[in-house]
Amino acid sequence: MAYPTTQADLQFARNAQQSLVEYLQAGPLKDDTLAIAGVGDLEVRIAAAEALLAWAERSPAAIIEAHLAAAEAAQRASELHVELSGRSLSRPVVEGQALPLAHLRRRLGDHYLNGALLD
Amino acid sequence: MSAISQSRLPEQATSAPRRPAHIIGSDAEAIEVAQRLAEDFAREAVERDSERRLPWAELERFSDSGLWAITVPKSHGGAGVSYTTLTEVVAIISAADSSLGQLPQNHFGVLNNLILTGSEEQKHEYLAKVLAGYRFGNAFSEAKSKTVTAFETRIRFDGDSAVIDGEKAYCTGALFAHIVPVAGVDELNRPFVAFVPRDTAGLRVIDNWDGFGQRITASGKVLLDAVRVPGSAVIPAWKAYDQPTADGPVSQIIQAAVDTGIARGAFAQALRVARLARPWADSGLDQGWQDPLSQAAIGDLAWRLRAAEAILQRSAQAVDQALAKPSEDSVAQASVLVAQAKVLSTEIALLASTRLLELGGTRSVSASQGLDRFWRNARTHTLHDPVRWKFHLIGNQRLNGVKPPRHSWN
Repeated sequence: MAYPTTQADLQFARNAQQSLVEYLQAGPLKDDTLAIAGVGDLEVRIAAAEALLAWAERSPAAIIEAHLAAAEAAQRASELHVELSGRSLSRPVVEGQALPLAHLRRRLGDHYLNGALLD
Repeated sequence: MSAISQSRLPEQATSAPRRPAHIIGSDAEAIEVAQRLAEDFAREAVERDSERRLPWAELERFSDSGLWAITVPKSHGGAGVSYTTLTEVVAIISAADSSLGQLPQNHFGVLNNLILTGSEEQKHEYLAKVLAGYRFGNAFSEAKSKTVTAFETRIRFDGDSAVIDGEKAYCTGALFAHIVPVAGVDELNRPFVAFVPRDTAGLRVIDNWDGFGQRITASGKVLLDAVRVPGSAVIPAWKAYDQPTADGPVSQIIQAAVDTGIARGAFAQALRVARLARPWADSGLDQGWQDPLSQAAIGDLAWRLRAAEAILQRSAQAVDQALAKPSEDSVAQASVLVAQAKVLSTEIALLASTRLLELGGTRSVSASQGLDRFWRNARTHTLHDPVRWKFHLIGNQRLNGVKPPRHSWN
């Protein structure tokens, strides 16, 4: 089962993207090449997280992979929102926080490199 | 690299297969054959790359296997595999040798255009040839036109035949092809594709490809000097873009599959070299594979590779849907998802091929190992079209509801 934070991060990214899109659509940046590309970049991160979340039931590794993708989507959404709108959004605190991302990456790497079991 | 005039074909070049190809019957068989061939192709991949040894023999085995015909529809005697299967086949081969993975790229692209725009007689003739083992190359791109979508090569219809004049570049597969499909525009600037047999008078394939990556694709020039073919050998390729079809996404998704394959190959090698690496002096560890920083770097590669694979699969499903039910919406959806696959496969191919060397340390740059080929191949192949504009394509749909322009680079 996916970490609670995975869904929360993904939802945050979606919400931030929607907020950003509404902000951009109301102003001159909606036709700005760089802003458009930025929205596209975020769309890719969200799509990646959604696709990996759909695979999360496959294995313990897949759960971590989905979590890392969702975290990246949330982080990118937060940064892009500040960059294009000048306003920051606060990410919600979720009960049952998983390990720090760096530790999850290490555990995943240990799994692929050394066959370490993931629970 | 050599300059080969058509008046003196390389001895391996023929305008017909030497023997009938095997006919693959199912998606599962296609995957199984690809896995078997990939093991074969991996054995001398380093040598072929370092010696720039053209893969004539390997291509014979490749097309003999039937894999070049797997998208021929069932109604014409083929397996009609899904694009999920096709992209997996291309990725499997590309992980072993991405030049070999790239070589059928345009073959599959033009095959789809034939299915979309050819007459029933043309489909009957050329799909049967593909099932028999014919390889299509390509003479599409031009280096001297204003943009990649513009052609200066002219096709002039003259009674029952057509005459083509022009100069083409980046003609992957043309050297090894039995038939070279050539794109040219008529007096109304509409692109057509002519199927030109390899030994046709006036067709010259010049192997001047000296790219530092994808070295054995022979992606050189094709010169066309009053090349004459029957009118029945020309298909109205422009019709695939005059209305919504999945021709563009089909062309692009194969690119993403090649890059995903490069990433897989680089990741596998990254694991191998990381297991052999010494521990860093300050780490206090006995073995390099215990290094938590290396493990974290591998974990980062792992999820990014998996994301690229997941999106590639989703985009392939979207391509299948757009082929089955073409509409403005389904084609745009396929184009956007394929663009996502292009972004993620580009990123992971470049990242994995760089980290591979970082994780292996200085010993991994020994030329005898040929591990640099992954980065050279990734960097070269991902330049096919600028991924930065994929972000724009995706963002414009999301932000402004603008559907991607329809052409073979989208």
